[in-house]
Amino acid sequence: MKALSKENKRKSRVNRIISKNFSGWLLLLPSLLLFVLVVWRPVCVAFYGAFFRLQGMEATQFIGLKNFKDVLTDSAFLKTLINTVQYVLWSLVIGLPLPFFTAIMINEMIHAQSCFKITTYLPVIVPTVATCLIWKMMYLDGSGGLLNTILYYVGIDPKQWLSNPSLTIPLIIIAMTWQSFGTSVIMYLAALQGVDQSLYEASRIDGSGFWSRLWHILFPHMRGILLLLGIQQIIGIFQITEQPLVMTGGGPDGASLSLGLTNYFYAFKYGQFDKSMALGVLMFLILIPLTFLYFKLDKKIND
Amino acid sequence: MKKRVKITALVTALFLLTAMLAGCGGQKDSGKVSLTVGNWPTEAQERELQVKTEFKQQFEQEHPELEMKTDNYAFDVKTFAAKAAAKQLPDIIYNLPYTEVKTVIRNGYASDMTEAAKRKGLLDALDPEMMAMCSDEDGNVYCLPRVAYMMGLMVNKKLFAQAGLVNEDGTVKFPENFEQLTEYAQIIKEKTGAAGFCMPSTNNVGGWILTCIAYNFGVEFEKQNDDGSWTATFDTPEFHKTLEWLYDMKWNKNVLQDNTVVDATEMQMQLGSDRAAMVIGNSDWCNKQVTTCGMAKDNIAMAKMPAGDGGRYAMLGGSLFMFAQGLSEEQKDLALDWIALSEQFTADVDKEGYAKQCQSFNESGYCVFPRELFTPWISPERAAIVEEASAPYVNMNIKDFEEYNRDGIELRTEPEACAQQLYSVLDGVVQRILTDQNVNLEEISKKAQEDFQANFLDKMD
Repeated sequence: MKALSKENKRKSRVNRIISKNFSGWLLLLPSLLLFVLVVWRPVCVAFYGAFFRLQGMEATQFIGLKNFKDVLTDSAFLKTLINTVQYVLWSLVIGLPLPFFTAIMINEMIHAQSCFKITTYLPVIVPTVATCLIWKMMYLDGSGGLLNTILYYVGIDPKQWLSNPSLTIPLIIIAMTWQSFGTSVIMYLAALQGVDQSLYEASRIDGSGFWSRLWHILFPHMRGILLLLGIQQIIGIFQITEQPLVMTGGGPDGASLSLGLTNYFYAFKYGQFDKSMALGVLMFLILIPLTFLYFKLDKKIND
Repeated sequence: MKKRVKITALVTALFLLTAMLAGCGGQKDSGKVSLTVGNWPTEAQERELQVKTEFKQQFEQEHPELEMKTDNYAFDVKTFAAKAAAKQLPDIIYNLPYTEVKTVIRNGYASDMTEAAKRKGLLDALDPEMMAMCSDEDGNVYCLPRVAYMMGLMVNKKLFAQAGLVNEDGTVKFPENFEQLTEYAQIIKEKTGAAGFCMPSTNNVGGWILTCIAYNFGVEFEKQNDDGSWTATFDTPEFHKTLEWLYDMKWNKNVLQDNTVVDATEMQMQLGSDRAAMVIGNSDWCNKQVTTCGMAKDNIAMAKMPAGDGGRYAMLGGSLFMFAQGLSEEQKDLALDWIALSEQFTADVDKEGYAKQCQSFNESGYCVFPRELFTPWISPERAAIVEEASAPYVNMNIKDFEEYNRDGIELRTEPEACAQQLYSVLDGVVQRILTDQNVNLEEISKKAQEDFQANFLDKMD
């Protein structure tokens, strides 16, 4: 009896919340449905499918952790994980400071600032596959590639680029940075516009130079956004797929194979959706703490 | 006022919901038998579209019970699995590669066509070796061979002529064995500057071509054990010799292409743009060489695979018709009738229909040969009709393809278990050889076998 009345109370509370702002809930409904169908449902299906043997996309038999075991015991898994971490590290080395310093340079400009803003942003609108193909042509081995042509004119023998296992990841990251750093530049620029100009003027009057201003005014002000974009970059690069797929196919001999690309191969090369889902879940679990950290930082910075 | 706000919100929400769900709507059942045909030509393929549309009109007249729909979807490895899993494939899928058959059957993407094919007399008219590749272990047929080929040596005639490797009658001097291939590649490189041979290395194509070559060195890639499990068996002196041949081509003779990241398209482009003189390929590539790679029709020539120390073998391949899962017997019959009419895929080929197809190919710029270079059909009567029907539209010189024949060559199928996975592992082997001059061949061979065994064969369900 007591339980029933508790249940009734809960129902009436839910009804109250809904009827209090019925129109709002109603307007929210389509977005909510879309969100459930497009975001939550695939995540749930992936978690579910990872524990089953799948025939196509249909679960035929519960097999517990076997898919996870298969993925983790793959002799290429460790190498792939290390490669993925390398992608992340190289992106932090190349992809994080470059847009930051470019933004500072543009911010310091007195003339043609808009022109530089636009030209910096232009590569962002080039489709990823086109970017990859452009850079792949530049990195071509032999005498056909742009880099080797330049080397030829300065009297140096052609080099191996993407086919050099120790260069392939940084070269892919350079191509990615070229394409995407315009967005980061714009975000850094927006943050730079928020720097209190009186601090700048005061430091100028005090006779401080560019580096001093950078260290004492800009860095403290930009620390938050740098961290935020850094974490966003780690999350994004950890899932890198298209770039190695188009530029190297994961080669040479797995030197540029990432977790994302392995996941793609499981699903679309071998038709092993169950293993693909298991790897997807593993990547999800690795990235969840970072995502929480991102939101926590975001909240802290915005507050 | 409050009520009005609520009504407005309700109407807006319903509108948004309807808009959102609009794409999910199905079509009303008209009571007719529906059939969706894939690979339908686009507006840009004007001539093909016109011919196909004429066939469609004729077919619909002959089958008033039919509601025929068309779909531009052509097989693409990147989208196929997702579409199949979502049950969004057209009922007839064209150009499924042989390597996908096992996956298609295992995942239940295709309809069992055994009875329907029997009813149409196809099973007795098609090459049993080809049909075995389209069937499951119990002999149930799931696909039909639209195009069949054996792997061979495709060459750029212009480069061969520049290197003086032509006979008196102008035909190409094809290498008879792999030693000769190396020798010719050296001559071509020396005299023309182009790569003598192009070896692909990515997207499983490197592994596929390496397998084709290795068969001729006597390599057996896997064997099935009594308990049904599989064991990788390729880490042998024969395979080491294959790798040594490739290494020699790259690092000692320097006759391979400069670029080491090469997929099928890049390999075909290298051949088509006079950057490479020889590739391992098949007769089905001729159209792509002409239409996509800009190669002149009279610049292509083909021969069978060169011989190796282990014999002379050619891998079988081709593309298939596949019929999506869940078709009724009536739909299966209609599907077979449709490909009989529009593709002349029938034991009793219609001379007029075949001629119409050849005319369409000719006008679309595709290659038309006086005979089928390699065919899944075993009837000599059919071959005679084909020859007669295609004669007025022939645009290829058959003399350049005379050496592409079955004489003295043994046909082999692809490795049965995990072929794509094997190719993927072998891609890595090719990439190591092409990029690392100090590579230890025996070591990479051993590692490749261990990886293939542990990552794929041991994990087969």
